[in-house]
Parts: sequence; structure tokens; C-alpha cells
Amino acid sequence: MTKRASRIANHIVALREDLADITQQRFQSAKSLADANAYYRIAPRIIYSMPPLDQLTDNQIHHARDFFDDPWANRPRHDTLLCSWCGADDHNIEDCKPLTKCEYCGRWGHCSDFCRTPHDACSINEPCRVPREHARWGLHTCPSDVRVFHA
Amino acid sequence: MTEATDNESIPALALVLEDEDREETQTPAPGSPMPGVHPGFGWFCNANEETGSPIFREYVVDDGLEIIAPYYQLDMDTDSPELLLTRGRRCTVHSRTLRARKDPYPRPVLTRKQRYSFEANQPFSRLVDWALDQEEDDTLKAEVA
Repeated sequence: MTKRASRIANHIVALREDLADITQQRFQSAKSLADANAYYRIAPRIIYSMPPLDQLTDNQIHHARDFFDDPWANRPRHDTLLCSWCGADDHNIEDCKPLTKCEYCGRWGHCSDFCRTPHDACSINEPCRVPREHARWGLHTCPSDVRVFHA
Repeated sequence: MTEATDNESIPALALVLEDEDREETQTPAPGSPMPGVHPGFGWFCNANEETGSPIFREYVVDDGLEIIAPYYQLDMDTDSPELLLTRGRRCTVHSRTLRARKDPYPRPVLTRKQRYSFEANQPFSRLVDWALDQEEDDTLKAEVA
């Protein structure tokens, strides 16, 4: 029985590593989208253009547009979240602390939003990788020397 | 003394020249790599039709040469979309992770709100997909997928 427990535990560790790899890829993807100016390329189309009505009804378009343009809607709705690891309903399982590796500092056990040293992800000759809304954005020195315009 | 007489006087050189002539005129053996020849269906020329500049400025090393691959293909069927590059028919195919094409200017990192805009299965996801289609940038679509 002990062997089996050990085998399952090792399996969980391997899966956790895989999850960390995927999380890191997601972070790289977000970085690429930022570098491509993706949000500001699509946002005007969504807010000001009219998609063909054969794809969506008028009502659906208005609902989707209001949700997209709502400044407070910055995360999935609370009623759609459920973590089957710890049972909490304020995050999904992939964002659960015991399974999470921080995107900024690469350490286990905390979400990126609560990282104490977020500027570990930044480097010289590249723009800062930490959003200004991060709690510790101004409390930790950023090595980046590229100044960018914030809209 | 003429060139022909020179070659005849050095038999080894004559053989080498004969070999070189044969290489130039011979068609490649079936199955051998054919750099510069269009690899076939699904492959595109890596050059902008209007400007002639490469679409993907990605270098590949093949036969000791480092060049910008003349042909490319986008493989969207994998978990993470890939950019396939080759020098020609039956040449080595190099794969790279497909990333959204960078804007020439440095851009700030996405805020939480902006990052959430690209989440799947949200009320606005179909509108985002439609807007991405309108952009006509496959690299951007692949990055979001």
C-alpha cells in the first residue's frame, strides 16, 4: 500500500510540473499578445463595428459588447468558478495556490497576484512585465530600462 | 597551350571537371532533397508579394547554411500551433512555436482586464473571435487559440 501511495504521489508531482509548464506557456502567450498590441487591435472592432447578424443576434451582440467594455469585468464571473482541489468557489483548480507556480518569480505556493518580488520577471532592454495594478508594482525595483506609453 | 590540352595533361583535373558538368546537368535522384523547389500542397512562399520581404524572419540551419527559410506552413492541429519551415522539396522541416507577430514598438504588459478579454468560453468570446478574423493575422489567431 505504501508503494502505491508513493507512486500516486510521484504521479501528482509530475502532473504538477506539467501544469507549471502550461502556466509558464500561458504567461509567454500573454507576453506575446501584449507585444503584438493585440488588445488595442481588436477592442475598437468589438466596441464600434457591427459583426454580421447571421453569426449573432442583436441582443447577443449588445450583451457581449457590454460585458467586454465593462471595466469591472476583469475576471470570470464568480458563479462559474469552482476549485475541485480545495473546494473554494473563488478560483478555478488551475489557479489553486498549492498547485500554482508564480509566473513572475517562478516559486511554488502563491498566485502571481500575491508575488512579493514580481519584477523578477523583468529584464533590461525589455518593457516591464508586471501590470501596474499589481499590489507590489511600485514596492520592488524593476530592472527594465524601456519606457512604454500607457493608454 | 589551350585549356583542353591543359585538362588532358592533368587527368585527375579532367575527371573533376567532368563530374562537375554532370552534377549541373543531372536531375536529382528521386528522394533526394531539392532546395528551392516548392515543397507541395499546403506550403507557402515566405515572401510578401508586395514588398518581397520575408513574412517570417526565421533562420534555419540546413547543410551548414543559415538562411531565412523560403517556404513555410502553419500547423494549427497541435496543442500549441507551430510554424513549419523548409528550404524546399524533401528538405528538413524545422518547427518553431508560432508566436503573434510583434508590433515594432514596445508595448505595455496586458492588464488583468485586457488578459481576461482573451479567455475562452466567456460571454464575449465569439465577438473576440470575429474581431480576430477581421484582423487577418494568422499568428494572432494562433496565439489566442
